[in-house]
Amino acid sequence: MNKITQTFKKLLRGDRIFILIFILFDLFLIIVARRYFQSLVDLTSQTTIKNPTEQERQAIQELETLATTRSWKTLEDARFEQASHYLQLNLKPSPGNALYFYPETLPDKSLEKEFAYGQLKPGIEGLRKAYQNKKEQEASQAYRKLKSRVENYELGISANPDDLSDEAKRFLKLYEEFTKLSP
Amino acid sequence: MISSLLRHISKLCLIVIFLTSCDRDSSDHNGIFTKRPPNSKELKAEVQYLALIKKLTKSEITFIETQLDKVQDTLGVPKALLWCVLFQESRFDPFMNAFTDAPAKGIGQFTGSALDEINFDTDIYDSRTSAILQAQLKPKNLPLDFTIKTSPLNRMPGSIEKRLPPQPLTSYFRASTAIFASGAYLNNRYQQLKSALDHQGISYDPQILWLYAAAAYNKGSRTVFLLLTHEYMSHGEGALRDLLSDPKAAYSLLTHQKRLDLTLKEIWTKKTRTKYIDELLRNMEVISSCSLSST
Repeated sequence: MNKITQTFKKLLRGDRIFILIFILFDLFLIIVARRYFQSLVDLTSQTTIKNPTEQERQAIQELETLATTRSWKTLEDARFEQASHYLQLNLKPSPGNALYFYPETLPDKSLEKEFAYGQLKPGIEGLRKAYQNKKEQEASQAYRKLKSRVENYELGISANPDDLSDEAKRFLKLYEEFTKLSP
Repeated sequence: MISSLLRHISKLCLIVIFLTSCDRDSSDHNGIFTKRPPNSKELKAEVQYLALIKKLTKSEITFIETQLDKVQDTLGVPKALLWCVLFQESRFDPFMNAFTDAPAKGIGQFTGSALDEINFDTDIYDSRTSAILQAQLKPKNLPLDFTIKTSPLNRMPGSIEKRLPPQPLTSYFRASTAIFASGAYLNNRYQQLKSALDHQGISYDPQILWLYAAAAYNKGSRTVFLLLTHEYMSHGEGALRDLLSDPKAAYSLLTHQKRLDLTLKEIWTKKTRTKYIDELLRNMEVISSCSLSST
């Protein structure tokens, strides 16, 4: 213990203290820079123009097929599993698919997160409730609301549904299945 | 000598501080928006021309401006901005496309989707909207629709009677109703942008945000979010702050063809994107030159 104390005292002597301070300052800079660039990398990997991969397309196709069975639970379980797969492997789907199908994968700093959780999610929830309560008119109304939110978000006042993004069209087509209560 | 120099410098500093604070005060009072739209010579000339050919009378403009004042007082939508947005959309024609198949109709060029937002998601972005619209529509209430009332004279073939009768309170073809509904829609875009930025702790000048809201009115909030995110990633937080606090930087972004194209590749194919960007550029150039006190 004495040796350690003596060694420490030797280190703090004279100009060695400045070397220590310099080293500590460098470590501090490295930690700060790492955090800053990591956050930039997170955003970059999300916002770099990224087209859907073939695997992504197949995954969405799987959801579309499941939607035709009109089992809400099956669809949601599959969607959640796909989203978890992306999160576990630290992969990022294309931005459009992230927004509409896998909002869990949107980065924390994404400006689109507010729309995904503030308007899309409650809209889907409204549709789910109406569908599960077997109220066809309410389900149609809920779908109409969801559709209006997507169209206004993507297109504004000029809302020509033909101009919606592919991901938005697929999203709406998928959930439209749940307005059909009769077999 | 040094002390007299210091005295001179401090006097100069006081003068500079005084002048800049005066400037700030006057700009705070006027904001970035002009008090008397339109602020561009071309649009002023166009308004005069429309008056000359009797397509837009002075009393109609006065009526519209009275409604715009009310929208500003109740919803906080800058009068000049909404003036320019509506003029750009329809040249203040409340019956634009009323009798055609074109989906966008009326003074604010509303589509069915926009009407659905006002009717079914009334308070989703701003809890004041339903009360304000209710007060405007008294004794009627929402929902609004595209009902159009005609008189027997209008329906006669070859009739010279072009003027349509007063429209129902809940019709989007009634000018006052449409102005309030359009103001509410523009306010919704503003609140949507504001909410997302507040959520992320990103600071902005509220007046500049209204410019982005005007872009979102015409082309959707998603375009604005993607533009801002892309600029942030390419040029950093400082650049984003500039875009949200400097009207010139905002104008430059919203009218820059290449920057828009690069960002919107994410959403649309080339054909749709080109058409979309052309429309956005044209609209933002006109709306900015019309509503800003200086560009």
